[in-house]
Amino acid sequence: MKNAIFNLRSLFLLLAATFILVSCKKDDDTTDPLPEDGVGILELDFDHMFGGESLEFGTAYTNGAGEQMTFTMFKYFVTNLQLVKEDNSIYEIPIAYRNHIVDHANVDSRLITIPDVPTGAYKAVRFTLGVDSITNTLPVEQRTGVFDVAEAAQGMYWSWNSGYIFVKVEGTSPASPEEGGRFRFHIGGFGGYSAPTINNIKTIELARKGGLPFNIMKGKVRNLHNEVDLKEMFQNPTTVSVATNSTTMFNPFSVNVSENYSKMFKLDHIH
Amino acid sequence: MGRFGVIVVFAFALMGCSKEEPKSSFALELPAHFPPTTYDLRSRPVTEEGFELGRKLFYDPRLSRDGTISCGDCHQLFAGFAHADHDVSHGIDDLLGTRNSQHLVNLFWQNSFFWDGGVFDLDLSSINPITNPVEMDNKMSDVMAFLRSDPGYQSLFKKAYPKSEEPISTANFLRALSQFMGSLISADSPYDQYELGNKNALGPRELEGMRLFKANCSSCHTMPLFTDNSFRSNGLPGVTDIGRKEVTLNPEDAHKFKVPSLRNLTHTGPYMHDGRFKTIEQVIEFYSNGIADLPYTDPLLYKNGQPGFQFSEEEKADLLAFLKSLTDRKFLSNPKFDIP
Repeated sequence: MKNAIFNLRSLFLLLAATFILVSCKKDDDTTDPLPEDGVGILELDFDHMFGGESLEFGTAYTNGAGEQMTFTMFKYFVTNLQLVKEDNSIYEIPIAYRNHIVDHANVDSRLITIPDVPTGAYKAVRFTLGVDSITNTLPVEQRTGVFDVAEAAQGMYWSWNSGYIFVKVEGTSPASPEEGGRFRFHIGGFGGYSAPTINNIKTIELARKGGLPFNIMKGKVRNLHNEVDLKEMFQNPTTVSVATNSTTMFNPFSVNVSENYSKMFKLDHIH
Repeated sequence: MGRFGVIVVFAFALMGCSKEEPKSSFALELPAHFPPTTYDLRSRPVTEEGFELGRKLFYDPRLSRDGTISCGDCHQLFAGFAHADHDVSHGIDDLLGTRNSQHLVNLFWQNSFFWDGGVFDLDLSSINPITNPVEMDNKMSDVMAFLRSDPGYQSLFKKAYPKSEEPISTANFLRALSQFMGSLISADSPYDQYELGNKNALGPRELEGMRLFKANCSSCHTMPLFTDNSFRSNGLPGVTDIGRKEVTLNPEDAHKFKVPSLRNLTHTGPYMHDGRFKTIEQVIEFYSNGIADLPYTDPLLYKNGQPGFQFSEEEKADLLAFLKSLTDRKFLSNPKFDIP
């Protein structure tokens, strides 16, 4: 599985290099020619940034509240991946490729590769940022893959209040009142099992400006380059200050944080 | 025993339809006077091998970070699977928890776990103490790695889950613990014997206590499980723990805790979520005259506009006699529940 992805990536890099040699033209704003029947490969690239700069752990950035933040963890669930066709019908990504954990510490996880996508025109990629309520209440034997609480999902699950952590961000800041200037944002909450509570499940749609569709071509790789600007988690509409919210976990304020971060994904361009 | 027989046969007929058939029959006795289980025993049956694996896991300190503490350390058979003489739980490195270690009993009939009900599935409940920094402080991945490396467990998991491609999985591990914990069924106290037809099992004092209990206590401590699985404040003064609110974030749930079962009460003390009362007499005294009139004190605890039931001394003695009849001696000394 890992090898297959690696090989696909190598193949893609080779193709990309060839492509750059042949033509430097970006195909962002052009309409693709009609694809012939078959399957192609879709890649989702998640380029992590802070305020437009490339995100690096250990580098200090300034948030919207004017506070310095240095990150040590940035991790989130990308689940229920699906493609929206031009006619608004949905192509469900097969289960083996549907759910992911993107971890800034793991470069490979920032590139999601979906093989065997039927050729055609698509206008958006849609996913759940987090874990839906059904998955949050599945019996243990169905919590496999990225949902395995002892494997992939370790650290992304609250044991005391059964539920997955959707987005986990940690680091240090001179503005934090905590020991070592620590801050922790563990955002989750699927709405509650027997009693209603906060729901931070967000649906993200990645689409070109103007809703222009993109084509999956037979035997070709389509790479959607997405910018994920972590600065947005701390602003717009709610300015999140490390000084006052250094530990934000399962509490009502987390709703503001998830509202902010639901706007941090942007499809920048397509290769 | 005759009534149990019917239920057990029925249960196994149902289990026969599930994908993983139990290799051998296991005498899981579902008491005739209990309601249907909340835990789905059709899709998640108990097998003898699964129970025995769960039992070994339950008593194995190697599941903790430094190999010093097992589930059985804070859930002791002789204490009705509570932690004897501990007001709050006492975990790894002598760290203390914030709440009283709950007694494990009749868990297949519960729909939430822990004092705040934060966990809704018995199969997910074990993750909590295993990973809690003041309890067993381990990582689930380290537990799984240990189990996979241990030849004893390799063979036990294979026996318990003969049809699993990968017997040592997170789900199989958690379900084995559930099989053991859920099988801790206590339903053979004098009270149960009385309910099942032995009218000599309770004396006149116990019967009078039962009458008082039904009139004043059983709307929350609903028989025969002695809990209605709800969350309530019983008007304990000076509680800072926000309780159920931590889970729902609902202000109305502040300082509410799950109504505990009263089975084996003589052995499960100390009592209350913070273990503040050492004796049942203190508990009865509290419900009689000690309940505080707080904004969130449960309305069912008021009588004539006053909090508390104002029991007479005789009534207190009768209640005590009845509560003592909830002790199931066979359960408390069942060798099948003890360290293997």
